[in-house]
This record gives sequence, structure tokens and C-alpha cells, in this order.
Amino acid sequence: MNGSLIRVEELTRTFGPGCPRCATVRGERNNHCPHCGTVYALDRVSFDVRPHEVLGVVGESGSGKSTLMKCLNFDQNPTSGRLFLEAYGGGRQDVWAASDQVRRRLRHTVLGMVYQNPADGLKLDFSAMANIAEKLIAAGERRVATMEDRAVELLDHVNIPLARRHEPPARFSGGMQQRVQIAKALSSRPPLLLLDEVTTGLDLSVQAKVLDLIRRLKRELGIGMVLVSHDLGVIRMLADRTLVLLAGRVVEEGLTDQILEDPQHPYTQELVQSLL
Amino acid sequence: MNTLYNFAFFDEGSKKEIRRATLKALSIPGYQVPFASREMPIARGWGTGGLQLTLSLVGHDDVLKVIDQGADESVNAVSIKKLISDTTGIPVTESTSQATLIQSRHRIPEEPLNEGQILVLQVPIPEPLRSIEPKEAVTKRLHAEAEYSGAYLLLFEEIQRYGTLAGGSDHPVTVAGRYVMAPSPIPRFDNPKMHFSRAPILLGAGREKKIYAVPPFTSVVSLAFEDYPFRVESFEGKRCRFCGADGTYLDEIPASDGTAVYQCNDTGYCRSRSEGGA
Repeated sequence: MNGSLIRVEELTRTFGPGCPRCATVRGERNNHCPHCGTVYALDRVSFDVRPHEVLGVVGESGSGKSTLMKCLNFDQNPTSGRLFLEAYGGGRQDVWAASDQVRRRLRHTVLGMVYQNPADGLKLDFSAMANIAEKLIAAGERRVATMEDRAVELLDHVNIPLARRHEPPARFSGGMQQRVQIAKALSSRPPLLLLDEVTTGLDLSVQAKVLDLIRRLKRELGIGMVLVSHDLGVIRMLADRTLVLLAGRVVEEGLTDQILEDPQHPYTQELVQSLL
Repeated sequence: MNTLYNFAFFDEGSKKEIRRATLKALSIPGYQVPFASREMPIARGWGTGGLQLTLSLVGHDDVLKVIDQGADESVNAVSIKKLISDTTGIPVTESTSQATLIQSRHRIPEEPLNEGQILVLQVPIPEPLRSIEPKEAVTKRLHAEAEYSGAYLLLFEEIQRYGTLAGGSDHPVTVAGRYVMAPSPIPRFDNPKMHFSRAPILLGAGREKKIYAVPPFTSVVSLAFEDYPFRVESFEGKRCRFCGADGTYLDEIPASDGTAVYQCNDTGYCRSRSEGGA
């Protein structure tokens, strides 16, 4: 593993039967085969994330960003590819080949996922406390006092007024819901955080608060993160390294500054040019 | 006895199918076995699951007792008793010890059950994880993987709301160390009676088309947290106003002056004590 937290090799996720002509007729900006109609949401994507590192993933809508996150969080199964986690067998065994139970346990202990839509990551009708406890319960915790202490600590950490901790997130604003989601993702102290478009759909001042929080987590906790966004501003602010996804393929990767200042691939150049 | 019907209302094929599901349920304690729930002359949700179990099991030598929330005389209990005795001709009783087959809704009798008896419970919602996961396909997988954090989450939320494990009834249990099961809406008071019960306990959900069971002498443990142990309802310092019992599940009957009187919820038990000269 060379000290990586997570390594992904040749991740492919297709929707459709596939045909021998797929590989030859598919253009660079086209993620489906015109002959058999198979969609290549992700095509042989490989990367790794080291401890304390934030990996940014940029790309337009439909480039495969969310599918990538869903595969990493075991919400979807990849068509092919291998995933190695430092926390699972020292990174020598493919996690995607493991049983559902193993993956479920890893999801609750090693990963923390923050979805674009809080409704995907939270039970909006349960109290904020219970939402945070859910991940701890799933990770095997059975003492209420421990979970309550941890939930209060985290809610405080993400600036949710403690007086509202027994309220369901359905009554919270979008930004607060997002922060509860982050608190939940952090609850079992995972070494790796998956952030899927966490600021999309929030207004600017709220975005700033959430970004501040993530930056603080990076500084104080030193958690590794995979950060998916279509917003280059967010990537510039948070990511150490960046992958550029186009039609399911990685077209460029490198240090974030390098990619933003000196983009090599025509698509990345377009992307950086279009930055307001 | 109404001879226009087959013995015990059902045709023999139906009884066989239900008994086959019951055997499977007994073999996998706590596991919900799907079965072909029949149309019944009472509406779904009124005890059709329990009734189908009872009808599939009843024989000429059985003695039947039916209770509804502890009462032998409630309308639903009486209708079910009538249907069964009209189509089988077997005697009914209010005495727990004399019955061989006991169908119940929301209570387990106070008098301990023994070998030779079968308890049938009516179940509205057989799935303990249903309130957290609406999809059957998903809950089946959760059971398969013994992933029960959802059940604990519901208890945690209860503690957040009420400061204690105060849920009224249907407190989930782990059966034989494997499946988490809804014990039907019996009060927590009755949960410990399931633990190593001498009589098999069969649970039937007619609307949800599920049968599950606790075989005799099987461990049944109520879910709880390390620092919030499971507790039954407490009636400390209160007694039944009729029979004087103090270790039973009591109904509270409020009076107009703000006070309340208490009486046994299990009417058959209470009457046997009163008539026995207690």
C-alpha cells in the first residue's frame, strides 16, 4: 500500500451489456457506446489517497463523480476493479470482493460519507443525536452515555446549537443538515471522509461555513478525504491533489495548483477557462 | 357444530401449508416464514394470522382459550372462539391451565404455560425493522446479515425522547442469539415470559402473511443498552382491587375524582384467584 489509506485500481462501472466495439468507437467526450448503448459511468479509474491528504475530483455533470463515490461507499457495486483499504488486511485484500457484512463494517468504521443531499445520509425524522449515534451503533457501540457524549461533542464541533440536539434535522436549515451529516460521518473517527458535492445547493455564506468546517477538520484531525465537486473554487481551497474526470475517465491528475495554473488536457483548459 | 364446513373451517390442503410454514418457523427460531395467508371470515388486522395458526393446529382433543388484551369476554375473542367451536365442536375454557391451545392478542397469560400447551399470538407488524426500513427486500437482507443497528437506533431515539426505554409494547427481542423478532404488541412485562418458555409460542401475521415462532426452551432476550438495561413495567405498591394480586400486569382505571383503581389485566387469572377464595 506504500502508506496509502485507500487505493483504487481500474474501477469500471458500466450500465448495459457491452460489446466488442465499445472500446474503439467511443469518443473521449462520450461515455456510451453507440452500437450497444452501454454507458461507461467509470472507465478504468485508478488513484490513491494518503493519510492527511485531500484528493479533489472535478468533472462536469455525468462525468462519473457520484458513481465513484457510491462505489467507494459500497452503495453501488462496481462492474470491475479493486479497492484496497489500509484498515482491511493491511491493504492486501480487495474490499470489493469481500462479503456484504465486511463491507458494511468497513463503511461504519473506516469511512465517513457526506452526501450531496442530506436526506440520503440522514434520517430526517430522527433526532440529530440519534443520527450521529446511528453510525456508532452500527460500529458496535452499545453504551448510551458514550454515544451521547460523542454526539454532543461533534454537534458542538460543527456549530449546531446544543439546545436543538433533540430536534429532527427535518426542522433544520440546509446548511445545518449538512453539518449534522458531517458530524455523523465523523462520529466513529474514520480515517477517511468521502465528501460528495457537500456545498452544492447551499447559499454562499452557508457554503463558506461548511468549507471552513472542512478546512478545520483537515487541519485539526488530519483525516484523509476524497472531495468531489464541480466547483473549482472549492477544489482550489481544499484539495492537495486533483483528478479531472471526463466521461468516466481520468484525463488529468496532479497537484491542484499545477492543474489549475497549468492545465495540460484540452478539457481541463476549458474547465479552468470557464472559472468565473 | 356446523357440518357445512370441513373440520376447523379450512380444507386439509390449507392446514397442511400453514403447518409446514409453522414447522419451518420452529426450526429457525425468530425467522419470519412467508405463508399463503387465506381469506378469512374476519377482516385482516383482526387476528387472522393467529386464527389461521389455531385452525391449522386444532384437533378433536383440544381445549381452546382465546384472549384479547387479557380479556376472555371481549367481542373479538368471543367471535374467534365461536368460529372455532362452531367448525370443530371442541370445548372452550377461560382457565389457562386447562387449555391446550391458547390464542391471544397483546398478552401472555399470567399463569405460566407448560408442555402440552401451545400459545398463538396475533401480530399486526411482524417486522421489527419496518419503522426504520420500509422495503421488505432490504429488511430481509438486514436479517440475513444480522444487521440490527436499526432496532437499537429506535431504542436510542426512545431514550432521547423520554429519557428511558419507555416504549409501551412490542419491545424487540433476540431469539436464540440470532434473529431479532417483534414479540407482537405484548407489554414489556410479558417479554421475560417468552424466555425459556415451556410451551412453544407461535406468532401469525395474516395481513403481512408471515409466521414465526419461539420453540420451547429457547432463549429470548430483550434488546437494551449496557447502561440502559431492559426493565418491565413497575406496579410497585399497587394491587388488584378484586383478587389482591400484586405481581401481575395491572390495568389502571381512573376515577372522576382524579384517583385511580387497579385491577388484573388477565381476567381469567383474576377470576380463578377470586373464586379460589383468595
